[in-house]
Amino acid sequence: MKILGSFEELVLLAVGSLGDQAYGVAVKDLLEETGGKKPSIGALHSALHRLEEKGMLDSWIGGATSERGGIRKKYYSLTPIGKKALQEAHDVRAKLSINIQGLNLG
Amino acid sequence: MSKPLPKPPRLAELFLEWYCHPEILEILQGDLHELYYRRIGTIGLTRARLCYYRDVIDNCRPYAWGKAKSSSPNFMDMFINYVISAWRNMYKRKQFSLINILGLSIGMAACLLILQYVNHQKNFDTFHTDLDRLYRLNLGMSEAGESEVTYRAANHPAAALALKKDYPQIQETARIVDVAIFMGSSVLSHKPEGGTPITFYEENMYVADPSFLKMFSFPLVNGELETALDHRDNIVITERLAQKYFGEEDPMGKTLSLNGAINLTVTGILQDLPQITHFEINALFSSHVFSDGINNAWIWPEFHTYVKLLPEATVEDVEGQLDGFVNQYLGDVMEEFAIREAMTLQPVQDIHLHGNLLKEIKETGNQRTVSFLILIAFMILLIAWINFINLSTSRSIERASEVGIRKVVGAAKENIILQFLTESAVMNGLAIGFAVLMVVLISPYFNRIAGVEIISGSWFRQVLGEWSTWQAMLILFLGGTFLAGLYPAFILSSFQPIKTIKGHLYQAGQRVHFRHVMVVFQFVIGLSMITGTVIVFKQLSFMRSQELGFNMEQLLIVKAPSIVDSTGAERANLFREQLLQQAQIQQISYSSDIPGYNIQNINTIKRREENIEEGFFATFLNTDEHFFSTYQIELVAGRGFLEEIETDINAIVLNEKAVGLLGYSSPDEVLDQIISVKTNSWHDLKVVGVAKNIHNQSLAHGQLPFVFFNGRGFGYDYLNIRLNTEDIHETIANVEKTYGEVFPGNPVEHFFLDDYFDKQYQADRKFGRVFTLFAVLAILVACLGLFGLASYISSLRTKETGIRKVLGASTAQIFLLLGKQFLWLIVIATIVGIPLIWWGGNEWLANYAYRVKLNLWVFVLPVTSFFMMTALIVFWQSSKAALVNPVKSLRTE
Repeated sequence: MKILGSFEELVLLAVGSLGDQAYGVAVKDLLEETGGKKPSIGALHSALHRLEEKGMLDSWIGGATSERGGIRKKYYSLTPIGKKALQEAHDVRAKLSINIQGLNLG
Repeated sequence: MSKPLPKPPRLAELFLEWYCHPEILEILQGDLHELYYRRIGTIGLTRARLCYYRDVIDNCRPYAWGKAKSSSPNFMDMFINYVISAWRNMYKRKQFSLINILGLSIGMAACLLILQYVNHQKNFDTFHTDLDRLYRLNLGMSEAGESEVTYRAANHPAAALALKKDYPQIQETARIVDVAIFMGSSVLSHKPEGGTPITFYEENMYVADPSFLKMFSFPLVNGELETALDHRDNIVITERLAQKYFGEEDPMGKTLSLNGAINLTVTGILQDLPQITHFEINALFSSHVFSDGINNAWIWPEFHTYVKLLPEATVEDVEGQLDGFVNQYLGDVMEEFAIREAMTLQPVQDIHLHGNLLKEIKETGNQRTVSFLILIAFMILLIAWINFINLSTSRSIERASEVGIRKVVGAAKENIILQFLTESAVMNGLAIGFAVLMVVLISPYFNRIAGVEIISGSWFRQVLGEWSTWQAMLILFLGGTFLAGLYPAFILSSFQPIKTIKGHLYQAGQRVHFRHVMVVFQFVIGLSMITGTVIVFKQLSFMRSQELGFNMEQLLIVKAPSIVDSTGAERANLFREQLLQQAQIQQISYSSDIPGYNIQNINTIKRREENIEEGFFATFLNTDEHFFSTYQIELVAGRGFLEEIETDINAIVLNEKAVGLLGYSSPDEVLDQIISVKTNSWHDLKVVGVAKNIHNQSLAHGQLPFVFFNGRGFGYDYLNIRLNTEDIHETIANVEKTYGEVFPGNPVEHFFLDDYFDKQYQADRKFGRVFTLFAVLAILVACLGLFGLASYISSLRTKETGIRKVLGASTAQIFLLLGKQFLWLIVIATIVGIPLIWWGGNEWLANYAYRVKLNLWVFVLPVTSFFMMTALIVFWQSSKAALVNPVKSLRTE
């Protein structure tokens, strides 16, 4: 099993929940909205790149839009490996947290 | 649309573009721009820009770096492969590689040798401190109304003092003047306590201002620099002289006497002067011996005058005022003598290569010779490069399949070019190694023939100790690799794989043509160099074989005694009488000068009734009554001087040249005419005879108008003794013995006039020898190339010759077939080369007043020898193909 860092896990979750709209700025926005965490764009891109190398993310280059002055976007999506890794991470947490009193993780 | 938002900071953009891999750049930049433009709306432009900077820097992480990734990952492996295949190829074709490397290394060695020589020449006088402020005050003189200015290295005695007094920009001036100006030959002697005096003739002794030692960096090994020349009886001598006179004794404070009359105290020992200075000094006397009369004199331009400027002064400023200076002090003199004078400042470090004026202290170098040698070295290198190009391209067929395979496996044209450049680099690298080895070996010989003295250090250190040598080596290496390697690399890399692998080998006509042009070029250079050598030596032997107008065979010259008293004239007569009693001695005469150098006793002469503007400079020679018979100079009219005619003290004998310049149409016409001579004032002299012209100097110089006069026993520096003997040694011993008896205390110094005269051709001989060395190197390299090419071409045609022989061709026909193209190239080279050599040869000969007439015969020897050499090489190489049994050459397929 591939080790997943906690920031990487968040990035994977964000990419997964964005569907086919997951590109750098969108992922950053989502992480900021939901988690209150403000990742730097450098850290984010580095993580995306790393996850892609690990085979957990897939990517494609989108068409140019006027929004960015004709510069294209790179979209990411979860691969089966990525989904499996998320699942495993979640399982580990669930197993460990189940024994903690007063915690309701659902 | 509203006006566009300000772009992100340019600097950050540049940085991003620099570090970012191109594939990632667009995506990253897109995201960053999106954030940036959004932030302008939310947090303002300034902070958005700041954030942009932060983001760009933040993104500078390894994943985004792209440079290393863009190159081929196996670059090093490929490079190693190139080196290996270069090595294998060289090893496989040993002969070809050897010729290439040897040729290159000879070319490089020639360049390095020349560089060493050029460095030596350029280093003259560069060791003085404050070099950039040291100048020599040259004096230009011309006759009124004439444009030809003769510059001399020496100036008036008063110039230095006046200059220092008038110009605050001048920190110091110094004069030195040859002692010989005052006393002809000079004898130094040291009398050790209780021993016999040690006495020698000395040359290169100068009277110097005390400032001289402070101005130039000639260290004293003993004595005080500041005070060494402070008193009129001081003398500073070199270590060599100290050793000669004092041996192991300490010379400081000891007494040396000059011509037995003046006692001097040694107050300093000067380190022997290095070769790389324009000075040549054995001893220095103090200028305190000069009276104010001399120090203020504006005549007598014999004083070498040096100027040191203040650091803040500019030479242009001082030089600009020199015209005014000359007019102020020399206005009267110029008018009186009807001459024009001008002064210039010459940087001391330029004297060696750009001097060569009248009155130089020692023979200077020659910028033209240096440039010429550089040209020759470059030509040799060019020949070697052409060899490399020709041999590499001619071998292209052999390499074609290799290139084809490489291309099929995926090599791009650039890779092939890189491969062949690597090969070229390997060869050039090896060649430069050999070149250094050759230079180390040839250096001693070269330095000897080029007259370069190396003071310290081994040859090896001399070659590799100079930073400029390493620079030159790098340039030679890179130049060879790229200039000679690029063309073959492009040719070889342009082969199309399909054609080469299928065996469609073509010899493109254009390329063969190019190769032939190159070979012709090499031949022209080679031919020029052989012919050049022939011309140099022809001119030398021409000059030495000409009639000089006097007979210098068996003419022994003895220096007249310097230590003389009131009985001098009597003793001179006694010496003459005693020697003439000996059968081996035919005639003896005294004279002030001898042939073999530029006689400096020059005065203006004219017809008495004419104006001074009609006058001209003539050389004056003080002779006794036996001069013409001793030298065997023919008199064409009148008579020589006679002892019994008292008035002969005011008589002169002219030579034909002087007669012509005076405007007389025949020698007889000038007899008994009165001629006026300007020395300090005008003197009237009567012409009693006319002598034939003589070549007083080497034939590089023209014949001069001469005035012979009779000093009646005074002012003679030389004894000319005409011998008539087989037994030179015994005769000389007799002369020495008589000399010692008649002139006690005087050292005897003698030499033969023909040897002495011949020394004038030393520089030419040196040039000839250096030229020969490089001509040999050039021919060697050209022959190597020819050898390689001929060998290759005949090996290509092995099969063809086999078939021809089977069909009945004779061996001779085969030779002709293979040699024909080379012989054609020689013919073309000869046709191209002759006008070139003709022009260059005449250009060089123009330096000589008397020169050989170039004719086509000059070319016969070089062309035939070149022809023979080529024929021999081609014959040798073709014989492999021509003599081999066709069965053998046709058997393998």
